[in-house]
Amino acid sequence: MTPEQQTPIEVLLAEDNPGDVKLTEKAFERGNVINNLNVVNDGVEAMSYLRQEGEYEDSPRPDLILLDLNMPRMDGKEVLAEIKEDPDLKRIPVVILTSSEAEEDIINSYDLHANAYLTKPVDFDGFLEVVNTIEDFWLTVVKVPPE
Amino acid sequence: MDQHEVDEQTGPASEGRPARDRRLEAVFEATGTFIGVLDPYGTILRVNKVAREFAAVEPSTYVGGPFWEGPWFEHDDALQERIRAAIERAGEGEDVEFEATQISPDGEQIDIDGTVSPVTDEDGRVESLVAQGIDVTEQRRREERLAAQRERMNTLLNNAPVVLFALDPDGEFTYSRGNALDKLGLEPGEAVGQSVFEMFAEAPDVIDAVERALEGERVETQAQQGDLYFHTVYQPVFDDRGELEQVIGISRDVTELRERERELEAWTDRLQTVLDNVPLALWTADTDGMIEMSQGQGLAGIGVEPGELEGQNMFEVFAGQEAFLSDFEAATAGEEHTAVHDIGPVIARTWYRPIVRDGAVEKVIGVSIDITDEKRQERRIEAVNEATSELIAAESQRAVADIVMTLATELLDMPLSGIYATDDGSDDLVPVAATDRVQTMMDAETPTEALPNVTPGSVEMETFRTGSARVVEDYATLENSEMPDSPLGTLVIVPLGEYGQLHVGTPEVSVPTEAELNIIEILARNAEAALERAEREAELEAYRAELEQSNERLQEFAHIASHDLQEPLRMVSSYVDLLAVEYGDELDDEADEYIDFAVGGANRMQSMIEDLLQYSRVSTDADEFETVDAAAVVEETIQSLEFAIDDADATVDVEPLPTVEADRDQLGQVIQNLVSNALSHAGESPTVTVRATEADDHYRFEVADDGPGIPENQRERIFKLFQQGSRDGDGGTGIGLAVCDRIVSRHGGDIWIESEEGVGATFCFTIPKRGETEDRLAAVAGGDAR
Repeated sequence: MTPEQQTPIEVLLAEDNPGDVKLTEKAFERGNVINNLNVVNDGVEAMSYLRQEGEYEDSPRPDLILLDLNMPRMDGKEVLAEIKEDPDLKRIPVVILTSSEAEEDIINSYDLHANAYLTKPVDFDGFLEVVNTIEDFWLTVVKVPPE
Repeated sequence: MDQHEVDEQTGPASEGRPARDRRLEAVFEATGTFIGVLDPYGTILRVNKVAREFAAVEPSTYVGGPFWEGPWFEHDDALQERIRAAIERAGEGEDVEFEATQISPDGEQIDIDGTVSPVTDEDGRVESLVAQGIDVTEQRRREERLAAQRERMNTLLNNAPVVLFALDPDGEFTYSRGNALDKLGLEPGEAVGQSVFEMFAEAPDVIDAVERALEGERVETQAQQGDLYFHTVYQPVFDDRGELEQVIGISRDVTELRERERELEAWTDRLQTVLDNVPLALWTADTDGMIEMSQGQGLAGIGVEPGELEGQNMFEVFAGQEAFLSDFEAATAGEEHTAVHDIGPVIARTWYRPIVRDGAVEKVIGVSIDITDEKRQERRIEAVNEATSELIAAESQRAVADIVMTLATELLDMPLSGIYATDDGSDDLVPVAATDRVQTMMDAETPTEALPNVTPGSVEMETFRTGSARVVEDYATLENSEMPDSPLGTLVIVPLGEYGQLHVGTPEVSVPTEAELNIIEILARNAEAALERAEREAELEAYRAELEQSNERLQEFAHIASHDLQEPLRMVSSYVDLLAVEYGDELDDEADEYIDFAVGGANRMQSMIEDLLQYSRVSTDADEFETVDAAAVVEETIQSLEFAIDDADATVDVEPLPTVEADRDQLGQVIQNLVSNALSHAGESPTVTVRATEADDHYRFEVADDGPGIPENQRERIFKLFQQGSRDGDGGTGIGLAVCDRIVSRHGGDIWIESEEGVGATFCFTIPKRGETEDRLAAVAGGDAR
C-alpha cells in the first residue's frame, strides 16, 4: 500500500438494512483503504448497478461486492447465482455478509461460488474487524485477475 | 371120548328094523335138535347125537336114569325140578314146553326152547315121552337186538322234534308219532284213525297241501299252527300198480329257525343299511389286492358305486396312486396303520387293518374316510392365518377392508361381500369396501356407491348393536333391511367390534356350513384386530404429523431466532458501540456505564439466542446413532476445553469408558456441557472425574466434581430451560443442562444429579444398550477369548 496507489477501490454493498449500511460505511471510513462504497438496497438494484442499467449507466465496475443474503425483491443467493453465471461479472470477488449462521446458508453460498462468507458481528468493533479483514484480504493480499 | 364110538354102540340096537325105521333113525340122529326118548316116567331110553355130544359123558352113565338128572342139567337144581315137573305133566298126556339156559361143552351160554311130548298108543295111553331141545340162542339175540332197535327207534320218534305221519288215500291218519306232536296237543298215535280234513279243518294251508299230495304231488309247505310255524313235506307213496297207497309226511317246527332267519335277515338289513349309508368306504382285499368287498357311501367320492369294485384288483383300480398302494402293501405285510392320501378328487384318510389267520396275513380290511372338507377347512384356516399377517401389516382401514374382501371371494366363494365402518359424522355405518362382484352388480364405480349406508333402525344396524354375528338365510324375506331389492341370497353379518361390520353374502340362498361360519368368524376377528391396529396406526400417524409440524415450527423459530431476532439486537449493540466510539469523549462516566449495561445485555441476549438455537437443534440437527467410542469423544471434548480447564485450575480425570450407540456430536455436547458446568460451579481448583459403569441394558456415565454440591430442591429444576443453579453468577444462560436433558432423552436415557452438599455433585446419565451394540460386544468378547 503506497501513496502512489491512491485510486480508490470501488466497493458495491447490496444491503437493505440502513443500520448495516451505515455501520459498513463507518467501518470503511475508519479503514486503511481509500474506497468508494456504492450502496444498493436490493438484488434487483444490485444487478442493474452491475449491468450499468438505468440510473447506474455511469456507475463504475466494483472491485468487490459485499452481498447481504436477505434482501427484498431478489435475495443475495439469486444475485450471487446471476453474477457467477455472467461471464462479464463472475470474476468480481463476492463476500457474503449476513447475520445468519445457518450452516445451510453457508454451504449454499459456497456452492454458488461465493468467495468468502462472513457473519455480521454483534458490536461495532467486530464490524470494523470484519471490514479490515475484507480490505486486507481482498484488496491487498488476493491478486484479482485483471479485467 | 369118541362120539363115533357112542354111535356105534347105539347103532346095533336098531339093527334088523324095517327101512322106514332106519330112515327115521337117520333123521333122529342127524337132526340138529336135541332129542331124548324117555319112558312115561322120564327114564332115559336113548338120546340122539346132539344130546350125546352135549352130555360129554358116556351114555351108559345116564341112559336108564331119570332125564332131569341127566348130565345136561347138572348143577341147576331149579331146572332139574322144572324138567321133572314137565315130565310128570307130559306123562299124563300133555305137551309141555320149557325154557332153559345151558352152558355148552364149549363153555358158551346157549338158550334152549325145550318140549316134552307124550307119545301115545292106540288106546291113548302114554307109551313114551320125547324130549326135544332147540338151541334158540341166535334167535333170541336177534330178537333182543330188534327189540332194542325198535325201542331206540320209538324213543327217537317219540322225542324227535318232528311229527311223522302217514295218511291213507282217504286222508285218514294211519300213523302219527314224534315229539312235536306235543306242540299240537296230541299224543303219539292219537290221530290215527282220524281224518286230516276234520282235524285240520281250520287250517286251509294243510288241507290244500294234503289234497294235492293225495293227487300224487310232493308238497312242501310252511304253515302256521297257532304261534308256531311248521315246515311239512308230504310225500305220496304208490303201490306196484301205480295207485296211491298212502301219503307219508314229516313236519318240523321251524318257529325258532324262522325267528333266527328273520333276525339274521333284519340284522343283514340293518348292516346293509349301514353299509349303504355310512359315509365311509369299507373294503377288504386279499394280499394279492383282489377286492372282496367295497361298500359305503364314501366310494361316491371317487365316483364308484358300492360293490362296483368287488372282484377287481386294487393294483389295477388304483394304478398310479403309488402312496395308497404302498401303504396297502405295508398292511399286507402285517402293519396296521393309518395314512392320508390324495385320491383323485378327494383326500382320504385310510385305516389299514391286516387280518391274520394261522400266523399269516389273510386279508386287509380298509376303512377310508373322505376328509376333503376337513382338509379344505384346514387349508382355508391356513390361508386366513397367512392373510392375517398381511392384515396386521395393512396400514389403513381401506387396506384391511380390501384384503378381507379378497379373502371372502377367494376362500369362501361368497362374492357379495362388503365392509362397513363407523362414521365420525353420523350414526350410520358407511361402506368402505366391497367385492368386485358387488360393484359390477350394482353398476357402481366405487364401493361407497355400490352399497347404501347401514342406518339406524335397520336389521343390519341392530346386528351391529348386538355385537354378535347373524346369519340371514334368505335376505329377500328380511324386513327392515337396507337393501330390500338387492340380489342377495344369503347374508352373514358380523360386527367388527366398535369399528364396523363385515357382510359376507351369496347371490343364491345357501346356508353356510359350520366350517364356513368359523372361517368368517376368524376372518372378522382378524379384521377387527387389524382395524384396531390401523386406527392406532392412523392416530400415531396423526401424532407423528403433528410432531413434524411442531418440529417445523421449532425450526422456523430457530430461523427467526437466528436471523430476525439477531438483526435488531445487532443494531442495538452495534450502534451503542458506535455511540461509545464516536461520542465517548463527550460523555461522562455514568453514560459510559449505561452503554456498558446496554452492550452487556445485548451480548447476553445474543448468547441466549445462540443457546436456544442449540437447544432446538438437538432434534433438528440430530444425526443417526452410530457406534461411538466414548473415550475418544471425551478426550476431544477435554481438549476443546483446555483453556477453560487451565483457567479454573482444574484437574479432569477420565476413567475407562465404553463404546456406545449414540449421536457422536450430541454425546460430546453432553460431556462438554457437564464438564463446563463442573468447571464453572465447583469452586477453586476442582477435580472433575468422568467415568462409566455397565448395567444389563444401559451404560451409566458420571461427571463428578468435588465442589460444594447442589441442594436437593434444585436438582430437578436445574435441567429446565433458563433455570440456573443458585451457585452461579458466571453469566451462563441456564440452557446447557437443559440441552443435556434433551439429548439424553433423545437417546432413551435418564439424567439426574446425585449430590452431597459440601462434598460435590455427580451428574449421572444413562445411554441404553442397543441390539447391535450387544451383538458387537459379544463378538468382541468372543474374539478376545483366545
